[in-house]
Amino acid sequence: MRSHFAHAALGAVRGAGLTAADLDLIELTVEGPDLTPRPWPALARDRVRFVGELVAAVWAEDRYRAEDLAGRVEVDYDPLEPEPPQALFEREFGGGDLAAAFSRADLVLERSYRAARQAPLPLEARAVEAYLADGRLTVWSSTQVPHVLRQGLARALRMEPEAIHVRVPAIGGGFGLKAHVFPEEVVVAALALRLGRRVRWIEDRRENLLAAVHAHDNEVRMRAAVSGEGRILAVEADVLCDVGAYSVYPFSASLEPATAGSAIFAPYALEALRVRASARSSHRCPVGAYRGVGTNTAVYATERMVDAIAAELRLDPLELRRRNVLTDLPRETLSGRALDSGDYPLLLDRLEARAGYGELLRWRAERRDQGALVGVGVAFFNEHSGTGATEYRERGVTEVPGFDSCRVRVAEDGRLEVFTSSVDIGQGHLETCRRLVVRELGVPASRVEVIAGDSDACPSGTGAFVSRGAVGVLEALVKALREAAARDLEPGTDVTVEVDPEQVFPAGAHLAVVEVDPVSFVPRVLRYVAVEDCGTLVDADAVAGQVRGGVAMGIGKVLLEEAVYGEDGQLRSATLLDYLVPVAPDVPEVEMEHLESPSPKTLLGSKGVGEAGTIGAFGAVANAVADAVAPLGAELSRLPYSPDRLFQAVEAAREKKAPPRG
Amino acid sequence: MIPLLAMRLAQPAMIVDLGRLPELRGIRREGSELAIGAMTTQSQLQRLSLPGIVAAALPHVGHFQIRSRGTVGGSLAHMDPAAEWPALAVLLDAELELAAASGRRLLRAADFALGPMTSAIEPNELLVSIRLSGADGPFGFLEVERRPGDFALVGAACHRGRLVAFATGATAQRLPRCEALLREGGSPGELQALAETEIEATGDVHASAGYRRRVGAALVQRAVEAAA
Amino acid sequence: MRLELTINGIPWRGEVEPRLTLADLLRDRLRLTGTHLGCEHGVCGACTVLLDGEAARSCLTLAVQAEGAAVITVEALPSGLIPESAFQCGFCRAGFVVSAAALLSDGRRRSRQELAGELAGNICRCTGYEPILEAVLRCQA
Repeated sequence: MRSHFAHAALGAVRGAGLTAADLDLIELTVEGPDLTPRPWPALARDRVRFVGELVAAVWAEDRYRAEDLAGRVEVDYDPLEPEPPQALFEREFGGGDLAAAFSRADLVLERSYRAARQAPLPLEARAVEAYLADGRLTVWSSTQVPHVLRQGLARALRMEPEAIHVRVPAIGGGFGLKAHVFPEEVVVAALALRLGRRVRWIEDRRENLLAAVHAHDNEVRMRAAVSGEGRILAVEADVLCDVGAYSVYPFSASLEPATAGSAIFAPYALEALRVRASARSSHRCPVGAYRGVGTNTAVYATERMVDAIAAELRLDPLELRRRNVLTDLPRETLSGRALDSGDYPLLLDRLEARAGYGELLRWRAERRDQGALVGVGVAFFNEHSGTGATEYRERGVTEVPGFDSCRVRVAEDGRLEVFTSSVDIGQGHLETCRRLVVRELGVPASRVEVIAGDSDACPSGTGAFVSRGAVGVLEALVKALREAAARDLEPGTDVTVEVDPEQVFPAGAHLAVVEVDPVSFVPRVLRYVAVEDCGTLVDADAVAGQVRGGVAMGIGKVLLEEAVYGEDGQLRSATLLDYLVPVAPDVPEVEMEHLESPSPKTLLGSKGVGEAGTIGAFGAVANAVADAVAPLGAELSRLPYSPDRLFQAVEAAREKKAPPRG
Repeated sequence: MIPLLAMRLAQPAMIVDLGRLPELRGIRREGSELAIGAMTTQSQLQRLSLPGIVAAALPHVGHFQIRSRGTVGGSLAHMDPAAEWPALAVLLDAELELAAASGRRLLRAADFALGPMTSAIEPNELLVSIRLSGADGPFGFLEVERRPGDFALVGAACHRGRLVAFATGATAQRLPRCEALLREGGSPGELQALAETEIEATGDVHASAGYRRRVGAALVQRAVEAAA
Repeated sequence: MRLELTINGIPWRGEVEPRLTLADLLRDRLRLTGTHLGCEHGVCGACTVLLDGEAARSCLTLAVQAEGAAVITVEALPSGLIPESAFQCGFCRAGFVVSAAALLSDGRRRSRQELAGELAGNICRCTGYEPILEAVLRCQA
C-alpha cells in the first residue's frame, strides 16, 4: 500500500499484514560532511512525505489476490500542509580570485537553466525475492549493487552480512535506478524472515515511475565574466537540487549537487570559479542515480551558457570552445578534479572534420533561406568515471564501498573461473571481461566462465554504476589475471585482487543537427556525431553500444522525458502514455569516432564510457534546438524542449518584438 | 480497458467479450454508404479499400500491434478526445447504430459524443455499426504527434466544407464559424485567425491550451488547403 | 472458465480466471517467460505475441479472449531473426522479434525510416535502436 497524499499524518492501518509497527528495522541513514541525514523509512511510521511512499504490505499466493487484499486495506490519513523545503546538503566548489576576474570582464552574462525531473525507467522494473535457505537469508534482486544491498539489508535487519546471500538474476537494464537499496527490498526480506516463506515482489510500471527514484530536478543560475577576445575568465554558479522526500541509500542527498557542482565548466580554462551546490527536500519521490547524474545538468547549463556567450560575442560556438578548453592535461581543475589525460583541442578538431562543420553551416543557411527551422549544436564535456573508496571518503560519501574486486580461480580441469564484483545490467560487461581474459592469457573463450551477481562467490565490491566497469573492475581483473599467469595457471590457483580506483576522466565533443517543424514545433534530431575519448578502447563493440544507447537516452531527456507533479503532489506522468521515452524514429544513426588518450591511472589505460552519450546529448541536442529557434528570437532554458515549450518561447519572443498598442 | 482494470479504476461485476459475434464485424457497402461493424478491428479495415480520409486516418491509430485488436466501435465508445475515430465520425456526420434488448436506435455522431471519455451509449446498449455516407472525395487530415503513434497533441480535418478540430482536450468539435467563413471565401489568414478563437482547448502534461488553439488553427488552415 | 487454445502449435486446455491476462497465462502457467512485461498498459511492446497471425499486446488481452486462437510467442520464432548481439539487456527482445516477424511476413520491403516508424510501438532503453533496425533490414534483403 502506498500513500496517495503528498504529506499527511499516518493514522491507523486496518486489514494489512504488515506495517511499520510490526517490524523492528534500523533506518538506513547516510551521514557525511555538509549532509543532513534524512533516511528513507522502509515503511512509513507516523507520517508520509510523498505520494507513493510505502505504508503497509499484504501478501497472497499470486499478484491478483495480493492486489485484492490491498484493495481492502483501510488507512487513516490526516493531510498536512506541505513542509517547507529542508536544506539537506550544501557544498562549495572552486577557486581563484572571482572578484578580480569579474572586474576585468568586458562582458558579464547571467543565465538560468532548468533541468527536468526525470525517471530512469529501465524496461524491466524492480523485482526482489527472499527466502531462508540453510539458516541464511537468500535475496534475489534485480540490483546493480549486490554487496551494497547485502550491507544495507544487514544493517536494516540487524543481521551479520555473512548471514545474507544476495543473488542477481539477468537484469533488464538499470541505468542507475537499481543501484540503491530500496524500502521494498528491506520489507520483502523482513517478511521472508517473519513468515519463514519465499516472498516475492515484482514492481509494476506505475510504481516504478512513482516511487523508485527520480533524477535531475535541478536549476543552475550562472554568471560568467568574459573578455572581448572571447576568453571566459570566471564563472559563478548556484546549483539548486530538489532531491525529493528522503535521502537515498547509499548515495544520499549529496549525489546530484556534488556531481553537478564539481562538473560546472569542468573542461574549460577559467581563472576563477565558484559553485555553490545545494540539495533541498520536497514532497516528491526521492532523487537518486540516473545515467550521467549531476554531470548532465552541469554540461547542459555550461554548454548552453557557452553558446549564449558565443552569440553575444558573435563568435562561432566551436571557435569559442577552442579558445577556452583546457590544453595542459594532466592537471587539477579549480573544482579539485584531477584530470588524468586528454587532448581537448584535438577532440574539437576531429568533431569539426567528422561533422563537416563548415558544410553544415552552409547547409543551415540555405535551409533557413527556405524558411526551415534548423539548428546545429555542439557540446564539449568531460566526466568522472570509476570513483574509488579513497575519493568517496574524501567527499564524505560513507556508504558506497568504492573498491572493485576480482577473483580468478583455475579449476582442476584447467577451466578459468572469473568472479567479479561488478554486475551485468545489460551492458555486456561479462562478455567484455571474457574477451579480456582471452586476450591476456591466450586461452580459448570456451574455457572461461565469468560469474557475477553472487555476494558469496564474488569478492566484495561496489557493483556497476558511475561507469566503473572500464576502470576499477577491469583493473582488478587484469591484475588478478596477471598474477594467475605468473603462477602458470596451475590448477588450484586462486587469486583475489581488490582495487581502490582513482577517478579517471573521459571526454567528448558532440554535435547534433535538429529540425523543428515550423507549425507544430516538434523537434527532430536529423544527425548526431560523437567524438569520444574514453582512453584505451578495450571492447570496441561494447563502447559503441554504450555511446549509441547513451545518446538515445540523452535525446529523450532533452526532448521528451519529464516527471510532472501537480500542485497537490500527485504525479501526473505515471504511465508510459504520459512519461515519454525515445522510440526508433527519434534516434538517428550515431556517427562515432574514437580518440585514445590512455589514462596513466589504469593498467589498460581505459576510462568509462557508459554515460558519455547521454551527457554529450544534454549539450549538443539542447544547443541544436535552441539554435533552430534562435532566428525567431526564442530563448530556451527549461528542459525538456517539448513542442509546447518551443511554442511558448517563440510566442514570448514575438510579444517582445510587437510594437506596443495605443 | 485492461489497464483500467489492472489499475483497479474500474471494477465491473461482469465483462462480456463481443469477439465472438461475427455479425458485428466486417463492412457493407450500399452505393456511397459504408456500414462498418463495431467489432471490426482497425487492421482489418486497413486491408480494405476505403474512402481516402479513413485510409489516411487509420495509420495514426496507435501502432500496428494495437490496431490488430483495437476496434472501431471500441474507439468510439471509449471517446478519448485524442482519438481519430470520434473525430472522423463527427466530421463525416456518421450514424451510429445502437442496439438494446428493447430495440435499436440510430444516433448521429454529434449526439453520440457527450464529453471526454463519455459517449451516449446506455449501460444496456451495444454499438453495432457505424454508417458513413459520402465519405469519399478530397479531404484534409492532420495531427501533431511527438512520436509516431502517440496520442495527438492536436488535430484538424476538413471534408466537404466541414471542419473539425480534435485532440484539443474537449471532444472533437465542429467549427461552424470557420465553416461559414470558408463558404464566404475567407482568406487562409482570416480562417486561421478565426479558428484560433473558435477552438476550445484545455492544457495537460503534453501541451498547453494556447498551443492547441494556435497550432490547431494552423492545422485547420492546412486541412482546408489539402481538401481544396 | 475453461479455455482452449493453441500455443506455439501445441494445444493447451485449462481452467483460468476471467481476469487472467494472456501475458500472465503464457509466463506463469506455461512458463514461457520469453514474453516480458514492461508496462502492462500496451505501450512498451515487450509483451507482443502473434495472435492468429497478427502482432498483439498480450498484456492487453485477457486469456479467455484468445479462446480457440493460435498464439505464437518468441520461443517459437527463429532465433536468427534478430541476433542476440543486436540487443544489450535483452528485455525488449521478444517484442521486437515478434513485431519484426509480423512485419516481414507481409513481404513488403520497407526503408529504414519506414521500418523505424512501424517499430515505434516497441521501446528499447539500451541500444539506441540502430543494431535492431540493421538486423531487420538484413532479414528483409
